[in-house]
Formats: sequence, C-alpha cells, structure tokens
Amino acid sequence: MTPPTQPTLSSSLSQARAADIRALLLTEVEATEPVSARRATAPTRVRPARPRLVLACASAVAVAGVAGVLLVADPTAAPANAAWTAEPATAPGVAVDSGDLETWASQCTDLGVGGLSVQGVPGQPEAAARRNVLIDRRGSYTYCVDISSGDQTPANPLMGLAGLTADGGSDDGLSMVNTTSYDKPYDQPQGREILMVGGDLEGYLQDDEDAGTRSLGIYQQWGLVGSDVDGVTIVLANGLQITATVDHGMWGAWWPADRGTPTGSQFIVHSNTGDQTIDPADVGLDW
Amino acid sequence: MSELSDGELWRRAAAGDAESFAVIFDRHHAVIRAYCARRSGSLDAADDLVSIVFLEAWRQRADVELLEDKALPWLYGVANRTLHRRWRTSLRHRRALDRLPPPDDSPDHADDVAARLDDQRHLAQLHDSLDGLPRADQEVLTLCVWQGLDYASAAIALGVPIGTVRSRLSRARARLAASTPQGRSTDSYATPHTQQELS
Repeated sequence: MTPPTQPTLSSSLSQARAADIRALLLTEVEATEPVSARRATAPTRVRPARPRLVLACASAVAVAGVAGVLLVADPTAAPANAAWTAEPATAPGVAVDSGDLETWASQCTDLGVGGLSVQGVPGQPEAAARRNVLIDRRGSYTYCVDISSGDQTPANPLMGLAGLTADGGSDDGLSMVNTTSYDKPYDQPQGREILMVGGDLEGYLQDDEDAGTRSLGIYQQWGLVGSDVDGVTIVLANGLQITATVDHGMWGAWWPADRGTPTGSQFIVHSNTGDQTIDPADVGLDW
Repeated sequence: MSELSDGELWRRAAAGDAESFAVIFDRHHAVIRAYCARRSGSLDAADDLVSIVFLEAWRQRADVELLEDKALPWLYGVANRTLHRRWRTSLRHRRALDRLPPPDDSPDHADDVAARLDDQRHLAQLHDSLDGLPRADQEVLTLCVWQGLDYASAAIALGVPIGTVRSRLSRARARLAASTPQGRSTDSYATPHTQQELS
C-alpha cells in the first residue's frame, strides 16, 4: 500500500510575502534578455542535474543579459584556482602591509558582508560597519567573514556571512555569499575552543565539476574561536593542510574543490598550551 | 494561463514573458517551501530559501530540462543544490532579497499561528527521525516519502540514475528501521504514515 504523502505543510507563506516574492521574480525576469528559442524549448530527455558553479573568476565570460555567475566553458583557460594558496597572506603571525589590507577590506565592503538580510532577519549595515571583518587573502582571492553573535533570540540571532571575491571581479563585483542564521542557544567559544558557524562538512561537488571551465567550485569552513586560539589548520582526508586566517575572534578558510573535500577533515587548533585535534562535526552549530 | 503546462510556461518565460514564470511560482512555491523546511528544519529558513530557489531557477533557465513537461522535479533539484550549499547564494540574489519588504512577524490569523506551530512540531519530529542518517538517505526519504515523488522525478531532483534512487531508498529504509527503537509509537514520527512506509 502506498502511503499518502504531504507535499505541502499546514502553514504557508503569507499572502503578502508571496506577493512580494512574485513581484521580485517579475522584476528579475523582465530585467533579463530572453534566451534563444532553441534553448528555451524544453526537451523531455532526462539529464541528471549538475551542481552549479559557485564562484565566477575575474576573467569569466558571462552570458549576455544573464544575471549572476553563469559561466561558459573555456578549455583553453588557465586553471581558475592556480592562484590559490593553502597558506594565506593573512595567516596568523604573517605581517601584512596596511595598504594591502585596506585594499582587501574594500572588497569585503563590496560584498556587503554583514549588511544583508538573512532568513527574514533584516540586514544591519550600520552595525556591520562597526564590526571588524575577518579578511583571508589567498593568491588573487579575498575571502571575508563577518559574524554578529546576537543574543540567541529570533529577533537578534547569531548571523554570519562569508563572501569570496576575485581580484578584478565580475561586472557584479562577484559573487558568492554563504550565510548562517541561528537563534538557538549556543556556547560562545572560550579559551582554546572553536565553533564552526558556517561552511561545508561534506563534499558534494562532483570530481569533474569544473573541468574545462573558467570557474571555481569551492569548499569553505568558518566560525568563532576563543581568545587563546593562535591558529587553526584544516587537515583534509587526503592530507592537504590549509591554514585558516584567525582574527577578531573569528577563523575562516576556503579551498578549491579539486584540492579535496571536507568529508573526513579535521581541525588542528593551535594555542600557547599546545595543539588539539578536533572533529568538525563536534564543534558545529546544530544546523 | 493557469491551464498551461509547466513546459509551455517555461517556454513563454524563457522567451521573455515574466507572468509565465510568476505562474510557475504560484503553482509550486508551497511544495518547494515544504521541501526546504523539511531539509533545513526551519520554517524561517524555508521562507527565505524559497525565494532563492526561484531566483536560482531563473538564473539556470537555459539549462532546464523538464520531465514530461513538469517543472517540479527540476525545481526540487535546484532546491536540493541550494540546500547543499547551506544558503550559499550569489550576492545578486541576496541583494534582491534585501529589496523585499521585511516579512510581517504577525501571522494573518490565529489559524496561521496554529498551522505554524503544527509545522514546527512536524519538523522537529522529522529531524528526530532522520537525525544520524547520511544526507543522501535523508534526501531520498524526504523526496520519495514525504514529498511523494516517483522514482523518475526523484532521479532528476537528485541528479542520479533511477536505479540509484531505488537502491538509496531501500538502504535508507533499512537504516531508518534499524535506528528506530522497538515499540516506538508511530505518533513519534513525523507523519503517521512513515512507519507504514518503512515496514
């Protein structure tokens, strides 16, 4: 006997919210060019869906009139992740020229990190402007993390945004943001503790995801650390060690998907009392 | 326009008819919201994600391939990939959402409050039922059991062959049954029908 299913819930979007989203979609559609009739004619052939691209590179060729980061394949292009480094220019203890830091910080501002609404919680640009943002610099990429701890209530939850951009950017300035909103109780990390607020715990991109394209699939991990933490190293299951940037009580790192997946990775948390190895699953929010 | 098939609406939308895409939203947003809620465990997240899914669907419109002129399996796929990335979205999408008026915190009617509470209980029970299972198992159970997709549609949503859907579902059922305490009341499951499905 086939059981009945419940494809919808008891509640629904409010009529006002649904109307707002509908109006937004109408605006988006009207702002873009029609695609060709050949492509628009939907075939009935079943093709497994591929995970889509997550980062447009500086030289990416955007499809005309299409918003966002839709890229085209270009097998002649240099690997998009060639400039990435496992050790960031912003690693703990590395001296950074203040002019460079200022330039990179401006890219974080461009991303709007901290000023965007997430899951119904309105953006707070003024408060975000007062907070320090973590800046992680690898090759020609700037990665930014901004976390507002909140007071663990729905009105003022923990909010985190991480964004990545490439030098030069796309016409949209690029590109990708990863967000977390969490209104349940959690323990702010103390001393040598670490908390993973956002990012990936498992690999999901296919091995050939970015083959032959000028695009970049990435994984990332980011969060908060206690005041005694001097550094965080992410050790992938394949042995690759990625040094996170640690600053302002936050940590963060990203890496190209073809360097390895986060599945089975571990953290080595460095402090003046020694190193400790931690399973990321043990220090994440209960998503 | 509401009598048109999804395929015809997609063709019209892709050719520049915005209203056709809005009709697709009207037709499917409740189901996509439910899937997002069941996978994320949060109604608030689902309310946010449903917008992103349709924005992302529009961005990917040139790649859409519909099964029997039905858009829903493909939309489930977009939702699934959006969920995989834990709300990782293009900045453009986030900025677009920023232009929406803030959601009204006060539901329209007492019935809405009750419905939301019901859903929150349902999501909590579902989370308890599926917690600990591999993500692939949770996905296939949610799609095929709670959302009611057939194997072919689930294959499109998950981006895997139909045979893989069958094997994953079989494995997921076995794992869920093995993790279920003996004698547990069916009331403790997300839906009363789940235990029947799993037995």
